[in-house]
Amino acid sequence: MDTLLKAQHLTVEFGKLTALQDVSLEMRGGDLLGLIGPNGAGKTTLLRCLAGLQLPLPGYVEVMGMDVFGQDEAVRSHIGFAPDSPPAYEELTIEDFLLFIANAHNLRGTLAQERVDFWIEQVWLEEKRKEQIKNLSRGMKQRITIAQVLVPNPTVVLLDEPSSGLDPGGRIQLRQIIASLANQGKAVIVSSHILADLEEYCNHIAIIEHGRILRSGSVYELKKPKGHSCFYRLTLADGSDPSLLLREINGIANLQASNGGYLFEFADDPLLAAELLRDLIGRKLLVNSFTRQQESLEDLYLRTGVKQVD
Amino acid sequence: MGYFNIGLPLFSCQVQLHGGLRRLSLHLMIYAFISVSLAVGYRLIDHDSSLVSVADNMQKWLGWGQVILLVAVGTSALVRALYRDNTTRMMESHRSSPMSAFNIIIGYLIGSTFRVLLFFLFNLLAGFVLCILSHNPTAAWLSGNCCLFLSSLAIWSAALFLLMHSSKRSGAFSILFLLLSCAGPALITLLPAFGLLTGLCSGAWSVMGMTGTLPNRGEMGISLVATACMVVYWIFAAIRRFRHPALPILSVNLTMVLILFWWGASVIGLVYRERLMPPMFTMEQPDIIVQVICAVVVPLFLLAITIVFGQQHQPFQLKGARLTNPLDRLSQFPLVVLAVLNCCVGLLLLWVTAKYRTSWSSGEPILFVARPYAYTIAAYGTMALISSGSFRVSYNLTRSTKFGWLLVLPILFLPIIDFVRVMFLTEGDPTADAFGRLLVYSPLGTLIQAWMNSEHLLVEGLIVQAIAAAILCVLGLRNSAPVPK
Repeated sequence: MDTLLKAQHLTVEFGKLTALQDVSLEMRGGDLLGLIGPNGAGKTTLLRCLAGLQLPLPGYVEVMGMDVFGQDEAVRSHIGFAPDSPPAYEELTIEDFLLFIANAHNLRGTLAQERVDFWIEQVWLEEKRKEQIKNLSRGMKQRITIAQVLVPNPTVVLLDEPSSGLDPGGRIQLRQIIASLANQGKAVIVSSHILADLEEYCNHIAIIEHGRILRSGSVYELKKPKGHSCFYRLTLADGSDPSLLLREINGIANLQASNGGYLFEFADDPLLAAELLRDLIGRKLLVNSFTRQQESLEDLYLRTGVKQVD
Repeated sequence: MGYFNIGLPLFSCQVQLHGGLRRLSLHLMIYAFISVSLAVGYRLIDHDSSLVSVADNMQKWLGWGQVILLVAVGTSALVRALYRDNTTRMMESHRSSPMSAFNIIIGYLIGSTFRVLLFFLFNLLAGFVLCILSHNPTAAWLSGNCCLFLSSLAIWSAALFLLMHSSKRSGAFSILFLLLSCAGPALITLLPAFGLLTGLCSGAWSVMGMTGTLPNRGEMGISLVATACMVVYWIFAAIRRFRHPALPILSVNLTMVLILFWWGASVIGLVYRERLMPPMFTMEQPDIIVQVICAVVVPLFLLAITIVFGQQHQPFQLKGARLTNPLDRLSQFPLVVLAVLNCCVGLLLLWVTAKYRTSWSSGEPILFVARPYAYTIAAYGTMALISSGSFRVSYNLTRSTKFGWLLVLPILFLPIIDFVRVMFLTEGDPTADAFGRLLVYSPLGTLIQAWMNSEHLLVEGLIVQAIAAAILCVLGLRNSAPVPK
C-alpha cells in the first residue's frame, strides 16, 4: 500500500526544552501505531506536529504526498486529530456541533446528516443527540470527540488519550472502532497510557521518551526476545523472593518482578525448561506455577528503561 | 439547520451560538418594539415640539446609539467569541480543519457580531425614516453610517489579528482600546497618519454625517480609503497569524507594508492636516516640524524592532521550516536593504509633501529631515550587523539565539547610561563626558542624537559601532554550527 503519512526529522523546541528531537516515521494504510511513554515525553507534540498544529523546526510532514504546513487546505480534510482535552462549542447540541464539523470539512446536505447520524449511533449518543454538550459527562464528551474526528472520514487518524474518561463499555467499543479504522485502510496513531488496550489492537508500537523514539517496530518484533529464548513466569506459593537464587542459574536473563511473580528469559526448549523446573524444586522452592509466556507490552515498556509509568 | 449549508460554516456556527436565526429574530423584534415604544413615548412627552424637531433629535440620539452599538458592543462580542474559542481550544480545532483562513476570519467578523449587525441595520432604516421626517439629508445619514461601519471593521479586524492566537491578550486589547479612544483626538493632531489608519478620522466623519451634516466628500473619501486599506491589512495579518501562530507576530514583509502605509498616510495627513477631521473635531495644530518628526520617528521605531527581531528569527529558527505561503515566507532581501529602501521611500514622500505645501517653499523642513535621515540609515546598517552577528555567535555556542540578546540589548540600550549621566552627574565632570560618549556608541543613541539635531560625536559613534559589528560578524561567521536542513 502507498505511504499515507510521512514525517521526517521532526524537531520541536519550547525554549530550553526539546519536545521532539529528529523524529521520523512513515505509515501505510492499515498501520495502527501505539505511542507510549511517560508524561512530557513528546507524544502530544508529535501528534500535534503530524496534525499540522505545531510547526517543526526543522522537519516536515506529508499526508498523501501533500505538505501539511503548505497552502493547500485540502490536506487537512485527510487528517483527523482528537486532542486529549476535547474542544467543543458547549452551547450547541451534539447534532448541531457534529453538523458544524461536517460542514467545516466540506460535507453538505444529506451526506453530512447521514454521516452525523451514523457516528452518533456508533458512539452510543443516539438518545442525547438534542442535548447541549455542556450538560454531558466527561466520558460522553470524549465520545463526541471521537465522533468529531471520524465524521469527515479522514485517511490519517491521530488520537491522543482517546479512552480517558470512558467507562468500560466505552473502552471496549472504542477498541472495536479503532480496529475497524485500520481494517478500512486508514493509518491510525493512538497515544495512550493504557498499555493493555494498545496491545490488543495496535500492530506497531513506538516507545518515546525525552522527545526521541527509543524503540519502535511491530508488536511481534518488539516482544520477541533476542536469540532462541522466550519468557517464563514463575510464582511461588509462600511469596518468598527467589531473585538471588535465580540469578545464580545459568541461562536466566532479564529477571524482573511482575504481578506477584517473576518473569525471566530462558532457552526456548521444553526439555531445558523441564530441567530448570526440576532444579528449582530441588532447591526447595515452593513453586506454585511455572509457565512459558509472551512478554506483555507493560513488561516490554519496563524493560526499555523508561522509569516513570503512568 | 438549513443555514448551515451556505458555505460559511463558522459564520453559521457563530449565529447558532447566539441562539440561531429564530432567537435572533425574536431579539430584533423585542429591540424594535422597545425602540418604537421609546420614540412614541418621547413624542408624547415632548408634544409641544414639532414633528420635525422631535425626529431631528431622535436621529441624533440614534446616531450616538449606532456608535455605541458597533464600537463598544460589537467589539466586545467579537473579543468574547475569540476568548471563548481560544480557551476551549476550538480555535485549534478550526486550524486543523480544511476551512480556509479567510472563511474563518469572515466567520468571526460577521458571525460573532451578527446580532449587533442586525440591530445596526434596523437603526439604519429607522434613521433613514427619521431623516425624511426631519428633512435632514439622507445622504449624510447613509455616508455617516458607512464611515462608522468601516471604522468598526478596522477595530474588529485589528482585534482579530491581536487575539487570533492567544486569549491572554483580551485584557491588554481592552486597555489599549480604551487608551486609544481617550488619547485618539490628541494623537491625531500630532500624528495625522494615526487618525487615518486607525479609522478615527472616518469615525469622526461618521459622527458628523449621522448628526445631519453632509461631510466633505474628498476628505471623507481619503479617510475611508485609508481605513479600508487597514481593514484589508489586518485581515491578511490575521490570516497569517491564524495559519502559523508560532511565527513572529508580524513578518518582515508585513511590517514593510505597514510602514509604507504609514508613509502614505503621513504625507496625505500632512498635506491636508487642517481638513483631515470634520470642523466640529478640529483642534489646534502643532508646529509642522513637530508633526514631521513624529511622522518619521514612528516608522523608524517599527523598523528598528523589525530589524532586530528579524535578525533573530530569519537566519536560524525558520531555516528548516517549509513556509510556502507568500505571507509567511522569509524575505529574500537582506533586512538592511529593505530598511534603507523604506527610508528612501519616506524621504521621497516627504519631498513630495514639501513640494505641494506652499508654506514649505523655503525647503527648510526637507533639509532638516535629510541630515538625520542619513545618520538613521547608517545606524540601521550597524544595528542590523550587530544584531545579526550577536545572534549568530549565540547560535554557534548554544544552538539558540536567545543569548544573543545579552549582547544586543546592552548595545541598544546604552542610551540609558546617558540618562543616568543626565540625572546624576554634572556637566564638565570627566566621568560625565565618558558616559555621554557611550550614548553615540549605540545605534539607538545615534538615532536619538540625530533627531535631536545634535551632531556631537555622531561620526565617531558610527565608527565604533561599525568596528563592533565587524568583530561580532567575524566571530559569528567563524566555526558556524551547521544549520539544520
